[in-house]
Amino acid sequence: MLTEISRVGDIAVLKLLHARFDASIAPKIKSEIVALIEQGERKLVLDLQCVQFVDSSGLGAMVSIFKALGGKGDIVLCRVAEGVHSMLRLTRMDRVFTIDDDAVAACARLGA
Amino acid sequence: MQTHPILVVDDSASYRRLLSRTLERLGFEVLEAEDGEAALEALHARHDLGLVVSDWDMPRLDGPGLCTAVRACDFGRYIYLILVTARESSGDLIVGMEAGADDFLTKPVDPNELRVRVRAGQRVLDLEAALAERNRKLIEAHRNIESDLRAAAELQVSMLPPPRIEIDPFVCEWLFVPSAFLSGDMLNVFELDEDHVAFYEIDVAGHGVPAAMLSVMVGRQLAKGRSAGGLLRNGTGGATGARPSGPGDVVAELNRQFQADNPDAAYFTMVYGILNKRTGRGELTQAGHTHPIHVGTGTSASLLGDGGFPVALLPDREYESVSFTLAPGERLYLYSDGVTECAAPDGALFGEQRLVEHVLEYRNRSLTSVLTTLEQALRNWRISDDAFADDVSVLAMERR
Repeated sequence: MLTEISRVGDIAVLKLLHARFDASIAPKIKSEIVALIEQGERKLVLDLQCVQFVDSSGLGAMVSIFKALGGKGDIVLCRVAEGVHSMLRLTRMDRVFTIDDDAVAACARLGA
Repeated sequence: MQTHPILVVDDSASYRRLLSRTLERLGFEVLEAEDGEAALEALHARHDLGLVVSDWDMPRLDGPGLCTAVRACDFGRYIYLILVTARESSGDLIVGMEAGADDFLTKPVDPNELRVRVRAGQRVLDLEAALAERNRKLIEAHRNIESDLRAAAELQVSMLPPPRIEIDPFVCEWLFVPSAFLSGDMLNVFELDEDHVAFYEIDVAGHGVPAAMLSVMVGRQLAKGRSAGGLLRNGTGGATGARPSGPGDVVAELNRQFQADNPDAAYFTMVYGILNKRTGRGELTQAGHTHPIHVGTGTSASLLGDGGFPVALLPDREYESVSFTLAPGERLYLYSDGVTECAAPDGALFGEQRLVEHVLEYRNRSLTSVLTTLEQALRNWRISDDAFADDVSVLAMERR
């Protein structure tokens, strides 16, 4: 199991279950979530509580998901560990992805 | 005509003849041996001999003894052994099987039973031959692929600068350790014009062949850009025209050139910078890459840059640059995250802190020393002798 999916209204909350978001799981996670977007999901919350490490493949997957949403939808990250947050700051991805403290705040932002 | 010759082993000549005739009628080429020892000689002599029907009680070496001897030896092929026993107890079955027999016949041998059990043996030998052939093809294909990879790796290494680059007043050495044959990293240092030196390090996302291909492509674009008016030398202003381009502009242009249509396309992080030979003043752009380390002549080091977008990941990005000065005796290190993210068996990362401590500890030793000991420190950190999980590259520059 890579993700745990729950719903809050029209928002899909996806919790990544693996500690390492790297080349071994990034392609599958990307396909899973892009499939959801193709099925019509427009509001996504990515809960990264379990994730301790994101490498270049993980970042690439997140950006692919972001691009798949295009202008049609929104994605918010939440519960981002400090190590992951510093990688997002290094790559300026913290200016591309909205980051909230937890899923409740993220859903509120998306208009739950 | 049957494809496999068959060996009949029995100390009774008349019984041997009886079995042989039955088998010859079935189309087999039949060889005979009078006991286990003679059977072993025959098996060593004929390399296409893989089927054996052997009696149990024989002088010198009996049936089970023959089975044990055959299994202990490496004939380079499978030998299918059928033991013929007069007894029918299950005790015999177990003794024979443990000795290495594949199947049994009881005396008197029924010709039809002989035929079908031998055929089962043929199926096993045919299967073994098919597997051996497939193995041979796989080994050859693997050898070809490895040979191609080695050639590609040599090509990639030929794009790297000489081991030691001296462009007065700067001296530069580097470390380049691919995680597999090919690296997704690339680095270089070169004279840009009579006043400036340019340097860069690239790390393509992922590793292996696709990452290496992109790293080579970017390297070539940068090489092409060295001509007057090219990517690296089309800065505005100045009396002579072709001033160095600002690092931010260079990276922004690379970002434009390498955007791909497909969402799976690779991206890369990089540091690109220029240094003034007379003043030691430098400017660099950090595009999602690790923070370069500036080692002053004192006891501290600083990390340069505020980060930046990776290249080819998202379109229409702007890139800033930061200024620094390399005074005489000072050093600058660029490195890929294969260094800082090098993991110990328990998952602990080597980290930025440890890297900074290392370059500080060796700040009075030669660049070669710093790099050699760093590579050793990374291997010690990993403990295992396996290759690094991610490509490792380090560029070390010093102003004399």
